[in-house]
Amino acid sequence: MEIAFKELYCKNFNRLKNFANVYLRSEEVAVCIIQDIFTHVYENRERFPLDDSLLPYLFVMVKHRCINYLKRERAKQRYCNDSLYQFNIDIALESLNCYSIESFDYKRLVKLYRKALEAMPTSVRETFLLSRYDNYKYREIAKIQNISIKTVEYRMMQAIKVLKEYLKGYYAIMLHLLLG
Amino acid sequence: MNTEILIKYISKQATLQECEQVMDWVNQNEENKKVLMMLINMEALLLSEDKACRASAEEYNNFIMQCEEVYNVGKKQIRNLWWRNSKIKRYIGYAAVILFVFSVSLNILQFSIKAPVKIEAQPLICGTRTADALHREIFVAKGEKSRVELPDGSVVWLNSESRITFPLKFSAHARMVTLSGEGYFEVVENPNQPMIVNLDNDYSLKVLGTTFNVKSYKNENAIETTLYSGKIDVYEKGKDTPIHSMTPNETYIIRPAVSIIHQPESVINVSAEIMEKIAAWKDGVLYFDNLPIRDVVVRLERWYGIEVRIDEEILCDYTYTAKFENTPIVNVLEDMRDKLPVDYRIEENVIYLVR
Repeated sequence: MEIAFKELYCKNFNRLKNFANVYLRSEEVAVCIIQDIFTHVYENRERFPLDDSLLPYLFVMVKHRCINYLKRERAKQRYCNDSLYQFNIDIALESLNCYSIESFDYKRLVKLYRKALEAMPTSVRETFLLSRYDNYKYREIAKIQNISIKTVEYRMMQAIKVLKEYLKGYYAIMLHLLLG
Repeated sequence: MNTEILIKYISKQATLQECEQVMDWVNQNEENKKVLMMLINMEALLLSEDKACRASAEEYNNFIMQCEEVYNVGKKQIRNLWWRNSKIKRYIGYAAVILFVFSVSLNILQFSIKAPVKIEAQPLICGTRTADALHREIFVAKGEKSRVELPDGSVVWLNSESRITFPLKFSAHARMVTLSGEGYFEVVENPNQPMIVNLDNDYSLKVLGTTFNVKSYKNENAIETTLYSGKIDVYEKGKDTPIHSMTPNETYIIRPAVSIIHQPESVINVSAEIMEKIAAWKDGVLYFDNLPIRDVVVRLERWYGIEVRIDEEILCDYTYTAKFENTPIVNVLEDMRDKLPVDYRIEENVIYLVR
C-alpha cells in the first residue's frame, strides 16, 4: 500500500500543483493545497483506491479547495483597492467554477498539444518546458541553460508559434462553440 | 486583442501594463471574458495532463515525514480528550487554585523581605525554522558555529552570525541557496543542476561542484570568496554574463559601495598556507593575521558572542597576530596584553580595551 501511495503521489503531485497554480497564480499556495490533499488521502489510505481511479476525485478536491481559497482571498480584498488583483481572483474563480473536462474535446486537444511539442526543435522545447512546468523566470532559464535572455525570448516565441500552428483549428472550433 | 498577451497573462509572464490591457479588454464585454476563461481552463487542462514531471523520491519522503508529524500530534490530541473528560481534572483544578493562592501569598511575603532576584532573559536566536512550506532557514547566532547538510548532500559550515535559506527540495535544474554571513561550502558535483548561491548584496555565485569559502557580512563592506577546488562564476544581479570566473587558489573580493578611488573588484592569488587560514574557522581555529585592532574587535564579538569596546582611539593603530584553538576569551585577552600595549577590563559583560 505504501508503494501504491508513493506512486500516486510522485505521479500526480506536480500535475495537480500545475493545475492549481494556473488559477491561484502562486506556486507556494498551490503546493500547500496539494500537500494538504495528499495528507488527507494518506490519513485515509485504507479507504481509498490508490490508483488512477482516484484521480477524478483528486481533481475535484483540488478544484474545491482552490475555490475556497480564492473566495477567502476575495473577501479579504473587498477592503483594498488593488483592482488588478481583484480581477485576477474573479476571473480565476469564474473559470474554475465552469471548469469541467466535458467542456473540451479533451482527447483531441491533448493529442494536438503533444504533436506540437514533438514538432519543436529540442532546444526550443527544453526552454519552453522550463518556463512552463517549472515556473522559471526568463532570467533564470538563461542562467540555467547558459544562453542569453534574448535567446530565451526567441525560443519562447518559436515555441508559441508552433503551438499556435497546431492548435489553430481547435481554437477556431472552440470559439465557434463558445460564441456561436 | 493579441493572443500572445493573453497567454503571457495566463502564464504570469505579462508586465503590469499588459495585465491592465487584458483587464480592460475583458471588461469590454462578456464574450471576451468567455474567451479568456476558456484559455485559462485549457491551460490548466494541458498543464495537468503532461506527464513529464514526476515528483522525486526525496520530495515524497519529506512529505511522509510531515504526515507522520501531523499524525503524532493528532494522537496527543486524543490523549488530551480523555484528560478533558475525566473527573480528576476538576479536583486538580481546585488543588491548583489553592496552590496558586498559597504561592502568591508566599511570594508577596518573600518579596517584602528580600530584594527581587534578577532573572536574565535569554532570547532564542539560534536555530532552524521552516520559513514557509518550501524553504528552511538556519540562523547561527554570535558565538556559535554550525554544520548544515543540504537536500542534495552538499555540506555547509556556517560561521557565527550567518544565515542560510534553502528549499526542502531543490528543483531539477538549479540548487538555489541564499546566504548572509560566512560559509564554507562542499558542493556535491552535478553538472545538470548548478548550485546558485545568492548573496545579500546583489551578487550570486554559480557553482557545479566545488569547495569554497564565502564571506558576505552586511556590516563588512566586502564580499570575499576563496576557491579551493572546482570553478565558480560570479554574477551581478540582473546581468546574465558572469563578471568573473574563478579558478582554484584564488580569492576574489568585491567591494560594492566604495569610493571611485578603490578598485571595486580585485583578484588575489593566495598561497596554500593562507588558504588554510581562511577556512580554519570551521575547525574552531581563530586566526589574526596582522589584523587591525578594529577588525580584531569585530571578529572577537562575532566569535565569542560578546561586546567589545575600544576605549581609546589610539589603539586602532595597532595590528595583532595570533592563533587560537578553542580558547576562552580571557586567554585571548591575556595574549593580547602580552603582545601589545593594551590592557582590558570587564564591566557587566562588556569588555573594554584600554591602554
